Amino acid sequence: MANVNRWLSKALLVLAACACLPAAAGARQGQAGAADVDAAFERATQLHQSGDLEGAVRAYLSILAANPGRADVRSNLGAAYSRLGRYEEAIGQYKQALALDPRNQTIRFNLSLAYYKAAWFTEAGAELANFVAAAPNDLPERPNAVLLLADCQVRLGEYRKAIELLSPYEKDGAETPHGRAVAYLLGNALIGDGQLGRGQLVINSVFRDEDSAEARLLIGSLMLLMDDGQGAVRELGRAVELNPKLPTVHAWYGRALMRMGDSEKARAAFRVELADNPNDFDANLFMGTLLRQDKQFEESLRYLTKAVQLRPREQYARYHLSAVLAALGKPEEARPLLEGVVKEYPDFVEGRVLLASVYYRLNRKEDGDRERAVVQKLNSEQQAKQPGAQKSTDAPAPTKAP
Amino acid sequence: MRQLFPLAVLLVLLAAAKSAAQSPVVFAEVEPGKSRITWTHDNARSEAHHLPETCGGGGLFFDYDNDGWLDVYLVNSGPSDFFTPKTPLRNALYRNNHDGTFTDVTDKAGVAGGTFGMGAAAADYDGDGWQDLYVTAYGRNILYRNNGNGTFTDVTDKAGVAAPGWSTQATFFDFDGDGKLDLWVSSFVEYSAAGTIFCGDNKVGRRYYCVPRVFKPRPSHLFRNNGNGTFADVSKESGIFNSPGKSFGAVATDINNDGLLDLFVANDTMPNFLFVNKGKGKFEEEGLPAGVAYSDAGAPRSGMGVDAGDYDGDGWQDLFVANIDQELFSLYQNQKDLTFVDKPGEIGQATRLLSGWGLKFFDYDDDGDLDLILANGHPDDMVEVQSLKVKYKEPLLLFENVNGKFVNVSAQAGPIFQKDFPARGLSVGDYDNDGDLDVLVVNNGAAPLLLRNDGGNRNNWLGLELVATKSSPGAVGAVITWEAGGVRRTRLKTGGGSYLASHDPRELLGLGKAAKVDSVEIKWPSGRVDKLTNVAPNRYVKVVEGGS
Repeated sequence: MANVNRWLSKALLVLAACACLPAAAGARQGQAGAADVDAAFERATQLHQSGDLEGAVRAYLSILAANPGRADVRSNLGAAYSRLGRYEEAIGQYKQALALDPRNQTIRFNLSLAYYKAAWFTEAGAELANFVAAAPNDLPERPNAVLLLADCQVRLGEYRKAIELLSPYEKDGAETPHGRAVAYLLGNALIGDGQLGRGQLVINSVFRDEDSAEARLLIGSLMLLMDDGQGAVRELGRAVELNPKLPTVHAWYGRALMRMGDSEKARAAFRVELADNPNDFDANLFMGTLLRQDKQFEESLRYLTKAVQLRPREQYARYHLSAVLAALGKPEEARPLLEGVVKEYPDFVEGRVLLASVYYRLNRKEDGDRERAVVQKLNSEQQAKQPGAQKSTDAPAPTKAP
Repeated sequence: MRQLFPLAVLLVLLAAAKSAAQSPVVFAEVEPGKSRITWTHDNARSEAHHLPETCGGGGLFFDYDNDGWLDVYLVNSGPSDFFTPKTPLRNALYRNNHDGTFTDVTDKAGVAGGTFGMGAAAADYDGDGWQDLYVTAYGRNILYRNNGNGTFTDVTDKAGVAAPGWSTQATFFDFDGDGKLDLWVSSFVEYSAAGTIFCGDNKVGRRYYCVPRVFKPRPSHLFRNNGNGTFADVSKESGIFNSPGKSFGAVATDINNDGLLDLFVANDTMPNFLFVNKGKGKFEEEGLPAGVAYSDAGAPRSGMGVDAGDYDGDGWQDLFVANIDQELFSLYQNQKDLTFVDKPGEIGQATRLLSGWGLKFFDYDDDGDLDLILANGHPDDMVEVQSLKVKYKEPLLLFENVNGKFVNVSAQAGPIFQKDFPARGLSVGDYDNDGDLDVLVVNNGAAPLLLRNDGGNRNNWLGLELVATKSSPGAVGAVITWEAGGVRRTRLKTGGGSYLASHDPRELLGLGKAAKVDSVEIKWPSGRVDKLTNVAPNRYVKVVEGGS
């Protein structure tokens, strides 16, 4: 199969490779000493193109020491750093180059790719959004940039933005690699946003009969979210078999195992995901949650802190982190996190329970009593919505959770 | 060689003695063929999966005939709005024959029940010196008054304690300090066959037991003993009524050492209740500020069995709650300021996949500190369809208290701990009067387990039978302090605890290796203090309030 992830990876590699290629050195007329600089730039570029990246870096740095205003040299230095996997240094050079040449869309795109490869998805998404907004529709890089932007948005949990971005491309058809990539990302975004019905349609239309890791991943994740734990374990286990290197596959598998009560294997799955992808939000969040449940608070703190760093606005990450902080005897650190959570999600009962507990621990009885009253009100409202409160007869009710 | 032989024999004997001293205490299953307890619980299981089916049964040790030996009472299901038994079902009273066997005296005693029973509690509510029985049910509860001649009379209506609906744990204690035993009755959810809800897999029409979350909560009952054979329902004026719950286990204890008995109540899928006794007949629910209502992530858990005891020996009552799988069980350490911290330690991981019901802090090895036994079983017989790891039948667990930390000793405590059961109610008591605590476990839809403690009495012990004259019968709330071998220990006599059960009313004090008891002090709930000195160990002693 020209499978989606392979396609995505290929697209990324092509783009990243482009970013790593040096721009050809060109002569600059009318500048004092420009001929010497251009000659040095030419030599540095040849080193770069020949694969002597360390030599190229030294040469670029040497030129920049005397000519710090050369955006083209900085851009090439960024490309060399990027190929060496020194993404933070690449980002630094691209940013300086862009400051010198703000309209250069190639540098902007390369910067966004360096962010992406460094797993700085917030920054990558911001730069890609700028790039997509400015790029004409017929620009060859535009479709790839759209996919990468959508991937960043999915990773950041900005599902609705991804859905909005990808929906116009939904009709591209499953027969093209681009169409399959769109379906893959759009399916992920719809599942993440809880639009399970539409997500199922998108996924089934493209992947239902396909025994690929990507297809099993999508179908398994959908099953998990639809509370079919056994089906999810089966599908995601198959996805792991087919491609254990598929991003997020171990995180989803771990979540399915958690759902089925196998926390030991779930932990192992999260560890595998994090070894390959330390910035996977779900793996960090659920690993932290499992550790918190086991009262291994210090270790849990590390993962949950990372989860909050990855998605600072994510409600459950902040909530679980605050629970750990409270358990570690740090109610003053937990308090602002919880106050933020309940301000944004006023009906989030667990958050309010924790906040009440934290207030009591801080000897703020009045605040604790106020939160407790809200908790009681919310509990009563939730209870009133339960089927047992309706006196229904044989009507479908929520499936029992284990 | 002839001179060496006796020495060799001596060494062998010493080695054998040392080995015996170090061998672990075990609980031996006394099979029905030996105990003659042949009663079996019928859970009324149906394809419809009515929730009451999975919540019983209960049972207890108590001495109904005042012969000094604990008898056994077991509670069965029975007719209800969703169940008509094919053959009559009954509760069972087994009289202790003093030789390890029991005789079924149910019919003569007149305590067969006839409702869809849950559990029971025994206490001398009328102060006539005979243990009475209160049986909880899905339906109408029953108060059996002990006539003192081997028979009982159903006095429920006269006493006013029917508490219709669905009741689970009953606990006798004196909340207002008037010397009369009052009665707590835990109410579970609002349920009826007419209001059946489908819980399960809609695709294949397979039913599971509903999570109690989907049903409405109900207020529990607090009955004040009027002292004339009747009770007044004081749920409203006491403040209890303001906290409707889905209540299972309940234990009466004094969590703030103010001399007033408080109540800790486990709720299923709701926050637990800590009813703090404010005096003058009033309670305030303080579970959330105290840190015992929710998990440390702010979520309600599925609390089922509970108990209270001072496991760390600091003079303050700690609390225990058994929850459902994945929630871990809770060991709440008292912080001495009306707050608690959940520190389950080794118990946490050991119970990750388990669901707990009956449980008890008890000193099974007579070393003076409180150990812990847990009876487990998942409530849903379909759980294995939904979980890779969680099983319907689960093992019992035994934890030994080692310097204030609980260590799982189940693997060394006998073959019974290698088996799985659908356990529910659990009662502890020394049914063979040998100075160590035995265990009765009632299984859902199966035969009960009688577990004989073998080896706990290798340590020395002293049994106290507290006979109140001014305090309420049973002396719940009494504080016993004893000193032996240079070690001073304290125990508060709690009421209830576990699930669907009550326990041996006597207190068994572990002395360890101390050959004598230097002193015993009983501070009765009335405030009176009695002291005993130079008491010989390894026997039961009757202590009458004001008698010293």
